[in-house]
Amino acid sequence: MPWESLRRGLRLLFLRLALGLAFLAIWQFTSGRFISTFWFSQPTLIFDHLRIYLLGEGTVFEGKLISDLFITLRAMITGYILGASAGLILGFLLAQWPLAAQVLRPYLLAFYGVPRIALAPIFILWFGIGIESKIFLAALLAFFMTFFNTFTGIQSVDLQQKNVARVMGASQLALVNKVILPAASPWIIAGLRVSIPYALVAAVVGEFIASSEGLGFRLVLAQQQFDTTGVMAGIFILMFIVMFFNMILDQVEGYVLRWRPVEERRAHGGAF
Amino acid sequence: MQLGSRGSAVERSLTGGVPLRLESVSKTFHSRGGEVEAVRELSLEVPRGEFVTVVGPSGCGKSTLMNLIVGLVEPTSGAIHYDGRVVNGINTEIGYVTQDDNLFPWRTVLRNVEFGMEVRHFPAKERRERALQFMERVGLRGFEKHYPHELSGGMRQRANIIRTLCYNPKVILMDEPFGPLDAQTRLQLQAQLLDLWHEQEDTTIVFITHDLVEAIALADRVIVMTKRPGQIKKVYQVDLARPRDVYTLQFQEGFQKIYRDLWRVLETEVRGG
Repeated sequence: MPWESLRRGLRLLFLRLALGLAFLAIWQFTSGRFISTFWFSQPTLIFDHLRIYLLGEGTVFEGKLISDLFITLRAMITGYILGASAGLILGFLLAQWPLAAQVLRPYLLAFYGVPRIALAPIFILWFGIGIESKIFLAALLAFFMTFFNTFTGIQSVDLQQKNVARVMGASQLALVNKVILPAASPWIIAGLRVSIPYALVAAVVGEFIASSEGLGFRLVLAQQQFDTTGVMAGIFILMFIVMFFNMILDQVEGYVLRWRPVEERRAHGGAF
Repeated sequence: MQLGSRGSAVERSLTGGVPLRLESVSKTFHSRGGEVEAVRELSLEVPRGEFVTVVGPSGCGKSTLMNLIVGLVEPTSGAIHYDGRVVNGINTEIGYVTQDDNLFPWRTVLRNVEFGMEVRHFPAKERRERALQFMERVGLRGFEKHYPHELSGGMRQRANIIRTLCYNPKVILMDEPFGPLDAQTRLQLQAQLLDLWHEQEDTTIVFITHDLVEAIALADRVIVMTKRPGQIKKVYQVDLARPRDVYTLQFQEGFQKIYRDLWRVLETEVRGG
């Protein structure tokens, strides 16, 4: 069996790489021939840009990649940790307290319905153009998905399973640790997973609006200079960040949810 | 199959007392659809060490009766006594084997079997040893590290039963535990259950079933319930010698007479439904 799954894993990896490379090859070939390099840039140009962004020396963007990455990731990760923890704790508490959940429900849904990124300007007014406004914005966006999923997950724990544990003599603490949290874990993990891109979006959009450093700042700078290659390079970096964090979460999920049937895991989007 | 010897239920009840006593228990459920009287004026005494089975038409409040005894549901009137005191809330001294296996899908079979002992703070070593012993007894060895979804229905139900047996509650309720299983698996599990019960001195079992053959094969006493609202229609003493061989019991002398007697009682309830 391990051989079979290894073989399938390698085949999948190969197909994925092949698709990506084919896309880049077509882009490289058509750019300058059928489509305008000015508007669509070219993979080799983007690669060059990234190299200079990382290693070059200059004043615009050269050699700024590491520090930009550091700034943006710090806002994203700090915000994610704050928001996701708050979402976990509040989702858990509110699921234990049905009255409060009912009272808060319309407000939460209304707040949830607002495009939350529209709150970026007010956060910048409150917390300034430094990293704090980005952290809080990332926290807010990460909070909601984690909160709703945790809340729903804990509420949907099977009553019969809880009763079985109670009858066997489980204390309230054991019930939470050994039944409720494990039973809700697929929901919670899904919430944590979908929150990651949200936190990144928040950090980058915050930088779009007002900042003096970071990936989002550099992206807008390139846009203002009609530097398509610079914008594309920024987008690529963001994609790599999301892919990287998804890979980490795949590992976490694969471990925490190792008890789930394979088909069920796939149905939950685990194949990504 | 080496079986311990047990006296008759009557004999044992004289020395062992009555752990479980229901005193004119009634239960009415209120819902949007109106009131449903599930159980009416039910009185019952179960002596220590007895195996009681409860049969009745479907929807006769058998499961409600179980939930009442274990304290998941409160009686509208009447009282449930356990070991001489009135029970309020969940009675953790009673084991409850539910109809669905309700195994925890995130735990391996071994860790599922250990669950009851774990929350009751059995020492880790004893826990492991007992769980493995019981798994051995019902043929689950080799599946310790499997997850429930990897087992057949019969194996899951075995795990469900032994996870209650192995923390050794003195009274065990079983709500149609063999209901969804095929006939052959049922016989195997009945035989295993009787063996385990013989080995555990003084364990009292209240077992719900809709299968009259099963009810007779397992029981010291069969209780026949009426259709809703559930009342006790008849209590029947089964005087078949123990240990019993469930595989051939149906052909044994006396069995058919008991079956006919009980079916006559049950028939009117089933037809009336």
